[in-house]
Amino acid sequence: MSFRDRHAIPDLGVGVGFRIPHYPRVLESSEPLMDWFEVISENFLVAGGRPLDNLARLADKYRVVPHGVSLAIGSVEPLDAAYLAKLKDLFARLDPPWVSDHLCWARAPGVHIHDLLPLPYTREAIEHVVERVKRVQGTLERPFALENVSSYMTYRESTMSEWDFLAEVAERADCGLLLDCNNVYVSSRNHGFDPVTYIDAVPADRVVQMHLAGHTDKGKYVLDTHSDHVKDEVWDLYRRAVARCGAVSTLVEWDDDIPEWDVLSAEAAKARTMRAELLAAPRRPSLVATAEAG
Amino acid sequence: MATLAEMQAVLAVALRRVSPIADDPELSVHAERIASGNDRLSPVEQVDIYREQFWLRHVDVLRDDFASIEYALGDDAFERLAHAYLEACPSASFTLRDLGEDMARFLATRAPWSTEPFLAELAKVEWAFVDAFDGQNAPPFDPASIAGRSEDEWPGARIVLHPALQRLTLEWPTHDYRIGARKGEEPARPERRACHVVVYRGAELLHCLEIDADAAAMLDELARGTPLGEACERAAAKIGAAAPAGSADRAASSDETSGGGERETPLEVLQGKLAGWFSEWTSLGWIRSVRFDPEGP
Repeated sequence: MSFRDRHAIPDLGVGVGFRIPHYPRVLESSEPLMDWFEVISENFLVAGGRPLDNLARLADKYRVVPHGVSLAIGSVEPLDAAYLAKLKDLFARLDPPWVSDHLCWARAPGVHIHDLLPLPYTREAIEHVVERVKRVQGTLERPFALENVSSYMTYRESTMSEWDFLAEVAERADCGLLLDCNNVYVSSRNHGFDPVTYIDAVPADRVVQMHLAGHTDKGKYVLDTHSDHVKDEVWDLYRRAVARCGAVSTLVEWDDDIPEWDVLSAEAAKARTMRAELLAAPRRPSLVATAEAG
Repeated sequence: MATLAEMQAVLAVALRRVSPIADDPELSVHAERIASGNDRLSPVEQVDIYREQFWLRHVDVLRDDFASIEYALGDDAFERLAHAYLEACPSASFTLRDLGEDMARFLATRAPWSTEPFLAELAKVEWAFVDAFDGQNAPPFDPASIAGRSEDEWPGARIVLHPALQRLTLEWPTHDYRIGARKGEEPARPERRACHVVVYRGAELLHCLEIDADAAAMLDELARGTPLGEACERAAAKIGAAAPAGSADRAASSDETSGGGERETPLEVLQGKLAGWFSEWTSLGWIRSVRFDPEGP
């Protein structure tokens, strides 16, 4: 049985991130404006006030899935028990079908760097992350998914591809995956690999959610900025990912230069239409075979 | 062969360096041993992308939280402050919300900023707004909860204030300066003037209200959980001690040297104001409940 089936992971459709400029529109609308919303967990790990009031209002109307940025699953620093306890409280309030964070490191002795730093793709890193994911899942008692990050550096110590690293961590830790198609594209441009190879290698049955976002070409490298429309190359990867993974909840991220609600909503509608067309079409045998093998 | 711990230790140092890694030959060698680079970026340039992002992200957070200090210092000087602060007080929290929590202490103790205590006070006011914004909630005051209480019960009652309420005693009207700076009104540095303010959460927005010294003394006692009767006595003693000799409105009852009739004691002054304060502070949402239990806080 697949990870999604074992944990009864639902397909929520297409959602967007819950961001401040859209609060009035989203919270005051009498009609549902979106299939579901993702929130950044850390923004709501506070004692009270407007953040929690707004979250409660959102959760009254929509399915809300929290997405973390501070777990630092790959850091050698011990897991932050107090932080995990706060997450657990938040998740108890929202009762999400899954929760997620990033396959990265971010903490070093005495400092939280507040970034999603890539890991070296080594046996040591796999052992380290797998053990920690198991502990996190045991603590949170929720289906947990790791997201692939955009990266701008490569390690001399790496002995395997990112997709092989991701797949082995997911299989051995028995966790879900949040497949960020934009991150795959950004890293492929920065490191010169074929993004289709990456998409085709992801264990399809473990993908519980997908991300779409815009990026910025800085000349010598591509930066994951979440500040623009999803680029055509990323839509192409998304089509391939949907064809492989099937009906998986999708989220459009737009966190900088945030546009009017209608622009963001149209981007989500584009993903919704694309997804519906792909899911209605017969699945390509070669992709199905790859997915089942994965 | 570098271990995961060794790689993370080197990178954590490199990313927190203010100037480009290439400016530090020794650090560059370490970075080159870790990153592999590619045909467009050297190993050092790869790591430097993360270093640049580290500073952009962190300085932006401090700009948002301390906008009035950025106005007071100017952009470049604020950036120098942010760099010095982040080097001295790196984030230990999982959330960037906490990044500026040591700013007031840093400004008060670290030269050259410590020579301008106005800046530390400004940081204190800015941070009061951060804490008021997402501090703990409390149910609204229920008037029925005090109905039928006898006069005898009130001296032992404890007034419970909103847990997110922030009380500040200032040497300058920095709260007004902060508002002006954030509204783009280009305020001038104010003259020194002692003032007492409360930063609190309204239904929609955060507010800051200046209160008089009597109200401040009383509010501070209530915030400590002191029973109402004792709070009045302590606040009155504080006001009496603070009042200059012969002060017309706070002279001791035995002081009739000015030739007037009997004046109210500080305690009587406070007691006279109490009903008005209770009504005002309840309507502002500062008072959330009244506890009549004798056990204490």
